Parts: sequence; C-alpha cells; structure tokens
Amino acid sequence: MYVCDMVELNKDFMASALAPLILIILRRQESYGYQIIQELKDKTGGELHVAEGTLYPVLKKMESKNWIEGEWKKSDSGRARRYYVLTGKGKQELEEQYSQMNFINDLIKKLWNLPISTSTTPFSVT
Amino acid sequence: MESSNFNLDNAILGYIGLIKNQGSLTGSDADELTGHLYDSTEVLVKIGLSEQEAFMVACKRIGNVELLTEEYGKVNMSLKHNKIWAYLLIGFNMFYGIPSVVFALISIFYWGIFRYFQTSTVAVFIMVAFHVLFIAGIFSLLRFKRQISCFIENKVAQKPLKWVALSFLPTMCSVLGRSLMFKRIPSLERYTIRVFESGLVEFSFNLAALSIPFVVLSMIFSINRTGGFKLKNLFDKPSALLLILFGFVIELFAASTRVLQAPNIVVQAVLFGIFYFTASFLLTYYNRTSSAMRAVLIFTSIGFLLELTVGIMADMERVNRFYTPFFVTALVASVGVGHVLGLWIFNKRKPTEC
Repeated sequence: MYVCDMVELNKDFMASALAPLILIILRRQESYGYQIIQELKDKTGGELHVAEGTLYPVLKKMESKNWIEGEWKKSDSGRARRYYVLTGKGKQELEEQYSQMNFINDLIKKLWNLPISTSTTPFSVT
Repeated sequence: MESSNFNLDNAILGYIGLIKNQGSLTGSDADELTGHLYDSTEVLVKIGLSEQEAFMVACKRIGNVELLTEEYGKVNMSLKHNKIWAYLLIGFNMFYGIPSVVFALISIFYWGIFRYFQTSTVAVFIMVAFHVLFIAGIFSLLRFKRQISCFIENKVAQKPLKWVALSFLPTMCSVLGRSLMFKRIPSLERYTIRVFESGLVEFSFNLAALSIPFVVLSMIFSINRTGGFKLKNLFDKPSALLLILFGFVIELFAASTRVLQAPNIVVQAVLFGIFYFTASFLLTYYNRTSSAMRAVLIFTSIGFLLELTVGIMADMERVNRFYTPFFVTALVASVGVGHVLGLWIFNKRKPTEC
C-alpha cells in the first residue's frame, strides 16, 4: 500500500512511478534498498509513505530489464547489503522516461488550464 | 515496554520466515529484506525506541506478509513454476514409489506368513486382519487428505529441494530392493493369495485391492468439492461419469463375494446383494428424492448389464446350473430395498435437518 499524507496514491500508479524515481536516485550514486527508501522519504519531506518491502520487487524487475545491476557487498557494520548501480541501458531508459513524463506533464497542464464550458447542451439538434 | 526475553535476531528471522513460507521469496530476497529490517531497527533504536518497539515499527513499515507475498509473486513467477514441478515430481514418487515399496513389503509379509503358518486358521486370521487394517489405512488417506496436502505444501514452501530429493527414496528403494529381493527369494513371485486356500483370505484381499480404485475415484471426484472427506460430499449430486465408475467398482466388490464359497446359491446371492444395498442406500440418502432414482438407475445399470452378459455366458459353460437369475434378482431387490430405506430415513430426518 502506498499512502501519501496529501494524496492517497493508487498502488499501480505508485508502482509504475517508483521505477523512474529509483533510476533518478541511482543516477547520482550506487545505493541499496533501505537508503533508496530513506532518500525518497527525505525528498518528499516525509510525506511519502511506501510499504518499504515493495521496493525490492521493483528493483528485481528493473534488474531483470538490465536497467540496474545488483551486487552483494559488505557494509561498514559487517552486514551484507545488495548495492544497485545504474547501467547504460538504465541511463537510456531514464532519459526516455524523463522526456515522456515531461511531455505528459505539459499536456496535463495545458488540458487542466483550458476554460471549463458552461454550456449544458453540448450538442444542438436542428 | 520491552519483553525481557526479546531477541531481535530471532524476531527478524521469524518475520522473514513467515513471508518466505508463502513461497514467493528466493534466498537472496529473504537476505535483502532481513538486512532492511536490521537497518530500519537500528535507526529507530538510535532515536530512542527500545529494540522490540523498533522492530515492530520496522515490520509495519516494511509491509505485511500478504502484500509482500503478492508483490514478490509478480516478479518471481519462475518460483511458482518450479513449485508446480516440485509437486509433479513429489506426486509421481508418491503414487509410484510409495505403492511399489508397500506392495513389495506386502509380498514379503505374505511369504513370511505362509512360510510359518501355512494354511492354518492363524494364517487366515492374520491375513484377514491385515487386509482389514490395509483397508482402514487406505481410507484414512481420504480422511487425512487435507493434513497430507498441508504437510506437502509446507515442506515444498520451506525446503523444496530437500523434499523433492527425499520423495525419490521410495522409488529408488523399490527398484533396488525388488531386484535384490527376487534374487534372494526367487519363490517370492509365486506366493499369490491363493496359496492360503481360503475364500475368506481371498475375499478380504479383493476388498483391500478394490478399496484402492475406490479411494482414487473418491479423490478425483472430490477435487471440485469443498470441505473434508465425508460420505455426503462423495454421494451428494454425483456426476453420471462418477456413477458409472462407481457402479463398476461396486460390481467388482459384489462379485468378489463369490470366492466366499457360501453353502448355497441363495446365501451367495444375499452376500452379493449387500454391496448393492449399501450403495443404493447411500446414494438415495445423500441425494434429493428427485435425483436419487436417476443416480441409482445409472450406477446399477453397469452391474446389471455385466451380471446379465457375463453371468449368462458362465451359466452356459456350467450347463444345468443357472446362477444368473439369483444374482440379477439379488441385485434388483437389494437396490430397491436400499433405495426405499434411504428414502424412508431421508424423509424421517428431513424435518429435523430443516
């Protein structure tokens, strides 16, 4: 379940939005699941609440598409963590998704700003 | 409030184990979630929560078992497919390997009984008792069907490789054991049930052997039915195919009474009719009055035709001894009496059931 304090996000919508968000985070540096979640929370000022475990299936899916690559490494605490890094294909995917999202975003804004018709009979019969 | 015996390692292991038991996590997934719970708990402890409180909050944040199972299930489809193959392999070994071993052991048992007791009353008693126990064992498979399937499901979810490998043991034992057994005791193959020269032993053996297809049929035809095994579940609104197969098995049960060597043909016909009476009674009792007659007629038709055709042929061979009219009359009469009695008891109990 994905819940936002301001808006309750649809589960499927959030699941599809999570992939580009992860790609953006991994664009800067390699990271692991818990750190990715924390970054998402920080950047939304704590407003985004994600069932944290659901991030991992998304990471797996992205890995199977070769957008990211995972590797087990020992952390400073001695525990093994799976670190993810963006691949060349992932970078390309991120650019495509980024431009597509901007396009859709612009379109939504344009449509949203259109004046609302006050006419109650859209079609006249003569 | 922290419980004095709280152990974080065990708590995390237990929670991840719960998710893993649902069967959609790989080992790597479980390790990743475990690491996440440790990280999350550690951070929460640093801000002042007790270890137990931190663990509980971390579990809430990571998501519940159902949600994680569902989400992992979407990306780990191959696990689901592998599980199907695990069931297929275990199923093959259960229905081939285990019966092979059981039948081989039964051969040794027969051989041992005959060797020490020959055709004595003790031998007859042991053999009949053994067959009765065997029938009870076979029928208990139906009774414990749910428990058996839950056990297999749990084992496949937890350690599929181990249990698939273990399931091959009976098959291997059967292949190796049989060749060794027949080498050491060459006469073993000759010890059929007839060496005991007892109609009672042969009859109980027939019942034991026929209980296997009966149980298999019951298992197959109860696949789409809910609830545990009850006579009502089996006999309530049976399909035409089940009735035909059921009729065939009942005919075999009834025909097996012929080995009992009854003092005269009338007693033999009565013994024959007992099976048809019971089946007709159960079918009528567990069905509504409208469909009971149809069910009884369908299941009886197979036995009726078999008795008529095979019986007449046998009578022609015997010359001057005509048994078919007795068996056919017994069949029709016992089915009729069973049906009437079933209806009577059904109608008598109906008001209290409503």
